[in-house]
Amino acid sequence: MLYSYNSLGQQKRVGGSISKRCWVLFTTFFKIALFVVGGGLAMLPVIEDVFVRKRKWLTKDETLDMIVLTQTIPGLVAVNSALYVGKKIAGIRGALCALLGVMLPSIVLILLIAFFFPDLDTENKVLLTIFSAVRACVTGVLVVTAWRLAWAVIHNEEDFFIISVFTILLICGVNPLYIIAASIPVGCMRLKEDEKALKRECDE
Amino acid sequence: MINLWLFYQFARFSIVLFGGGYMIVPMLNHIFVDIHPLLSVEQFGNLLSIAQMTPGPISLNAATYVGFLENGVLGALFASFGLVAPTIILSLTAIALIQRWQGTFWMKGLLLGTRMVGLAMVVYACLIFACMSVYSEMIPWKAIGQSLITFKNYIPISFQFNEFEAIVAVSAFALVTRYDLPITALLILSAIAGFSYSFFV
Repeated sequence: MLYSYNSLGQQKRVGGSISKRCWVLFTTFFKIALFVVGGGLAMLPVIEDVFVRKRKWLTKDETLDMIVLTQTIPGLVAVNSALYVGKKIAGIRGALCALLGVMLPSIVLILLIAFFFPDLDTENKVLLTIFSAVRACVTGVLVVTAWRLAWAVIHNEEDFFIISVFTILLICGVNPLYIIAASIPVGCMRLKEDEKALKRECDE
Repeated sequence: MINLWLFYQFARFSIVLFGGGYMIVPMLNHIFVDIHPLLSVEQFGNLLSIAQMTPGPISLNAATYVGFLENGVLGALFASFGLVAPTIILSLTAIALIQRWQGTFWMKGLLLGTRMVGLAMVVYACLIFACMSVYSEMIPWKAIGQSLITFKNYIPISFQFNEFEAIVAVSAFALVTRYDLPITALLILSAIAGFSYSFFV
């Protein structure tokens, strides 16, 4: 039996054998890379839907950790997310399966295009409309995902206020790395307050 | 030899690539068009549009394409794995470090704080995607503010509201919240909708 740890150090059980989990990781990331246009966080809704809600292999907290990690570590966001999810669910083997799944479609597609359509008409109106529609679909679905993830972080008005400030800073074009650095003391202060409150409750 | 060179070049790109693949474009231009003239300007433009049009990460598409142009399928594989190799090491190390310090006060505080930024990033990403589909470009906050203060229209003409994309976004939202459809199915549905709509434009 394999256990995965959530970020608070609590143990939770993940169902299925490792090879089955690796297969699911590979197929899911293959689908993600094939259908999701736009890169970056566009793949988040699918990850949240499949691994958090349907299969319950990841927690919402871990998903949010994944987002920050992928934005902080240099490299491709899609590859980083695949590695994180794979490692959490099925160890190193899972990470490699997810990585292969995310890379294969784009390599194969590009090679096919380079072999057979070296001068592809990229101003094609049909293709442009299709991609615009897919991006619109991602917009709608991403709003739902944000709503679902929000309840893992927002516990009171103070959290809501802090997150709004961070969002406004991002919109104003502040480098995300500075915002992440600024958030660490905020988090430590919140944790200290929580621990104090817990202690007071225990004393009473 | 050229395979190893491609691997090295793309590994170098990968290390300075933070959040989002668009940053690779000027770097690619600098290395492959200016310093080592392996691609013509025309080929570079073609590469960019193909990398953007195909699904998957833009920088990975670009790496595969450049590798293929230089040295066939083998070059493509070396270039794309070069782009991924530093990320594998860094990412797995970071995950291991987080697990190592998991129980300590500082790591708990760090995760608590950064999770809030994570949520803020998702909200911001919603806005970005809306601006790439429902609106024709980034929302001009400054111009809107100016217009509100002075009662004159400062909003640029290029900023438009696309009805079709708005309908797709709203119906995707409704289908997920009401019927909980799998999201890959929704993406295929929206692609079909876009395909059929393109005949009416």
